[in-house]
This record gives sequence, structure tokens and C-alpha cells, in this order.
Amino acid sequence: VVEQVPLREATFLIMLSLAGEPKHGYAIMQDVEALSEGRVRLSTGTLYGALKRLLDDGWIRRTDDEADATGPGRPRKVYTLTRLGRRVVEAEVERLRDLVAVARLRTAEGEL
Amino acid sequence: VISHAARLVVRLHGVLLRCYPRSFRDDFGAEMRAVFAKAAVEAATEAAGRGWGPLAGLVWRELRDWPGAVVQAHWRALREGAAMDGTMETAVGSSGRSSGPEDEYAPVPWRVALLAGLPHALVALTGRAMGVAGAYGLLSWGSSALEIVLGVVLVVSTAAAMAVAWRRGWPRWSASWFVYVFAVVALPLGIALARWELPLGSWQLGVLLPGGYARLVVPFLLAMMVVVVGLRNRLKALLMVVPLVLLLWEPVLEFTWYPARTFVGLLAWLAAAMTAILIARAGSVRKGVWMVLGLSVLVGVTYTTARTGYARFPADAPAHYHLPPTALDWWNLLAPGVLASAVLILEPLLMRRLAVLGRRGGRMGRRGLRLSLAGLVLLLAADLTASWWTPSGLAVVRLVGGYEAASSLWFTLPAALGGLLSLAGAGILAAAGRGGWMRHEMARLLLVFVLTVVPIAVALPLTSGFWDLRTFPRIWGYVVGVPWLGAGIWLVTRRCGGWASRAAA
Repeated sequence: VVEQVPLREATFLIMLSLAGEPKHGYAIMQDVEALSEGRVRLSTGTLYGALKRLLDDGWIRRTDDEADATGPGRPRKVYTLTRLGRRVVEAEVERLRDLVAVARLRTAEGEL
Repeated sequence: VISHAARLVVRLHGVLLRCYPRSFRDDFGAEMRAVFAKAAVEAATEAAGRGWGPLAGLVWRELRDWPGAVVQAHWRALREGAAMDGTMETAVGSSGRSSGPEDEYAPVPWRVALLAGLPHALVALTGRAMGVAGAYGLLSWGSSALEIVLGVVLVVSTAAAMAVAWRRGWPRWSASWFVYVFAVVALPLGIALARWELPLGSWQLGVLLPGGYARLVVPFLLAMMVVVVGLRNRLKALLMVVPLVLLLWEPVLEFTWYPARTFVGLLAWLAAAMTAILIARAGSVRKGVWMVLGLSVLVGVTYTTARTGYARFPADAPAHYHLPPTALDWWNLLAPGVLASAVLILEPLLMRRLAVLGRRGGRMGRRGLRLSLAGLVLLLAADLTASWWTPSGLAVVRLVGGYEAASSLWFTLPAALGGLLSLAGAGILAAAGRGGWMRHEMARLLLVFVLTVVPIAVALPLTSGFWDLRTFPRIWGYVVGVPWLGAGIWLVTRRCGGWASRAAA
């Protein structure tokens, strides 16, 4: 898992968005925008290209939305983080935490 | 107005979606459309209060990311297609895959199969039939007028066929058009280069550029296309090589009496159309291999008979050219062509087997496979180049010291190098193999054997040249070429199909 990090920012934000609960595509798009404070706004091409990669790598899973199953037409798809995906996110968070710790240390040294 | 604009951008998004690979659209197209429509409605609602900014921003983001996303999706689809097992007709393939043995697909209706023969029939009916009519005084058009008619018909019909094929997810018949698509794209540049006169001293770039383009770049790209298609779908590779087989035979008709030349050309392209229809209809690689090999032999026999029976050499040709042709002359024209075309037909299909083994050999196996593939592309490119070589080609080659020797080297060396690279790659792949199952090892050894003798089988007969028929002994070409042909056919047809796939499994 450690070999898989660092992740691209968009990939990390998508996976982070799924860390809390399963989401469908539009919700992921909005959540990524919110997580990045409006800085990262995904197009459908970028979002679904990334989702396909994550599905192929086994980091996320795609299922029918049970809440939507009773309505007319095809049920919406929701995306869920797999255990492997969760471990990758945790590895990336750990990496970023270490980086931030080092950055804090260096900037504190500079202030002394 | 804003809601109209939102509907319009949703439609535009639908058009952009069509550029993604079929498999990707099948998986995500509906979701992407729904997500974008929702985003567009929200942006339009926002736009009612804040102006056009949100909607414009949404459109801008889609347009900005679209080229990269489409290229990445196609690249992934291509890799997935190459990685798929031989039992499948892949994403660019047609629907209707059967669950039968490897490379056996469901037959398609005749009306669909006819589309596979259409491009070759068009060449026959426009270029060749009009050529025959002109040769017998039934048509007063000159050859340039015929070329223009042929060009217009091919460009228009190819564009139409590709538009239909694209909408239908690149069905089986579309492979028959691939070479024509390539020609439509490549020819204008070739013509432009040929007419571009660059007086740049002794390098003669004005000659080198068009010569290099036609004899190096074009064969290389064609060889790449054949190998890539062969890795994805062997049936499509067979359909794709049909016109290339005819082009390989074309130089044999040089110095043939014009009416005989156009007449046998007409028959050959009609036979090619029929072959493509039958291959597409049957959906069987095993039968298809025999059909294309049969077409090659049929065209070869017809062309060599026309050439030896109706030869018209220029008055200043060497004296022995004007001697009455013998049965040996006939055979010496026929056999190298059969071998050269068989390389084009069989090798991409054999590569598929190697690819299956390569993916099971870990990192080293994949490296071996890549090396083998690169060698094969080089070998096929040299094969195609050899058939189209003319002494008036690259100026730099003529400067080396006599065009015959130099031109032979020009395609013999890459062919031999390509064969050796293929051999080295297959060797690495075999060394990377895990497990000691006897039949598995034997399958590898056979593949190595086939790839070993290919450069010799191809290079030797072709080195002796098409134009100097009486001076070179060709027996060694046949001694290795004929067993190679037999082994190759055996490997790609049914007996090998079940056997090698069991071994690979």
C-alpha cells in the first residue's frame, strides 16, 4: 500500500469523499469541491476517469443505490471505499501528516 | 433563455461523450450524462441570480478536461483490450461473441458481412474495372482521371463507413476499412512531400523525405496497426491484412502488358472482397487463416502467370530479361511472395499466443514480450518495404554503391534485426516462465522456433530480389521458409488453438 502513495490530489479528494459514506457521482463532485474549499472542481470526464481507475485497482466498489431501487428506471450507482482503498487513504494521510510535521518543525526553526 | 442554454450544453455534453470508447460509455455514459445534467440545472438556477458565470464555468471545465480524459480512456481501453484473453471479441469488436473455442465468434448476417467486402469491391469496380474498360478502348479517361475518381469514391465511402462503425462500436466489418482509413490519412501527406521541392544541397531532402515517408514511415505505421489489432482481435487482424496481401503482390505485375495487368487486378480485388465477406460471415479465425492464405496463393498464381505470360520489359533492360520465361521463373516469382504474405498473415496471430504467455511471466516476461513485439513490427515493416522497393527510392541508398545491393540491405537488415529481436524477446519470455508443465514449455519452444526462422525465411527469398530472377539460388529460402510456413499455420489453426491455449492456461 505504501508504494501506491503519493496520490494525485483529485484522486485523494475523491477517496477522502468516500471515506465517510458511500456516494453517487454528483455527491462526490460536490464533496470534492467542498473539501478543497472550491479550489478543485471536477468535470465529469476527470471524475469518471478517476473512478474507473479506482474501480480497476480495487480501491472502490460500485453498487446499485438501494434507496433508489424502488423508483422508475435504472437505480443510481453508488461508490464505496474498499478495505484496500481505505488503507491507501490512511497511508496517504500518514504521509501528509509526516510532511506537515516536518514542515512545522522547519518553519519553527526558521522563526527562532 | 438560461434554461434553453442549459439544455443546449447538456446536448453538447452528449456529443462529447460519444468520443469516449464504447466500453467506457457502456459503463459510465448514462451516469456521466445524469451527473452533468444535474450540474447544468444547478448552474442554470444559480445563473438566474448571478449571471452566466456558473454555467460558463461548468462548460469551460468540461471542455478543458475533455481531450485529456478521452485520450486516457482510449489508452486504458487499448491496454485492456491487449490484455484480454483470446476468447473475447473486445470493446472495439462487435457484439455477438460466442462461447465456443478460442477465436470462434458468432456468424453475422450476410448483409452485415457484405460491408467487410465493400471497400475491396469499390477498388475493383472503380479503379480496376475502369482500367480494364480504358485498356480496351471502352473508356476514354486517362489514368489520372481514374485515380481522381477512385480517390473521391474511397474518401467518401471510407468516411461514411467509419462514421457508421464509430456509432456502432467498431463492429467486425470495420477492420476491412482500417487500411483505407490509413491511406486516406497518409496519402495527402505523401503527395504533399513528393511535390515539395527542397533544394538543400547534396542531401536531396526533396527525394529523401517522400522516399523515407513512403518506404519507412508508412510501412512502420501499417505494421504497428496490424500488430496492435492482432493483439486485440485476431479476426479483425485477418480482415485488415486482406488488402495488404494484395498490395504485397502488386509489384509482381510490374512490366506486365497493361490490359492483362488491369484484368487480373480486377479479379484479385473481387476475390479479396469475397474473402473478406466470407471471413466476416464465418467469424472463425481458423477458417479465416486458410481463406487469406488461399487468397494469397490465388492472387500469386494469377499475377505470376500474367507476368510470365504477358511480360513487357523496356528495350534497354538486361538481355536475359527478354528470354522466354521458364517454369522456374514462374515459381521464383510465386514462392517468395507466398512466404512474404504468410509472414504478414500469421505473425500477428502468433504474437497473440506469445502475449498470453508473456503476461504470465511476470515483469521479465512482459519485457520479453515488448521486445518481441518491437521486433515483429520491425520485421513486418521491412517486409512491407521490401515489396514496395524501387531503385528510384532514397537518394542516399543509391549513393552507397549500386542500388541493387544497397536496396536489398535496406530491407533485409531491418527484417533480420526484427527477427532477432523477436527471438531474443521470446527467449527472455521463455526464461521468465514459471512452472514445469511439459506441454507449456513445448508451446514456448515452438514459438521460439517459429520466430527464429522467420528472418531467414523472409530475408533470403526477398534479398535475391524480384527483378533479378535468374542469378540467385533460392533453395535456402525454401528449405527454412516452407517448414516455417507449416509450423506457423499449425500454430494458428485449430490444432494449435486448443493445444496452445490449454498450455497457456
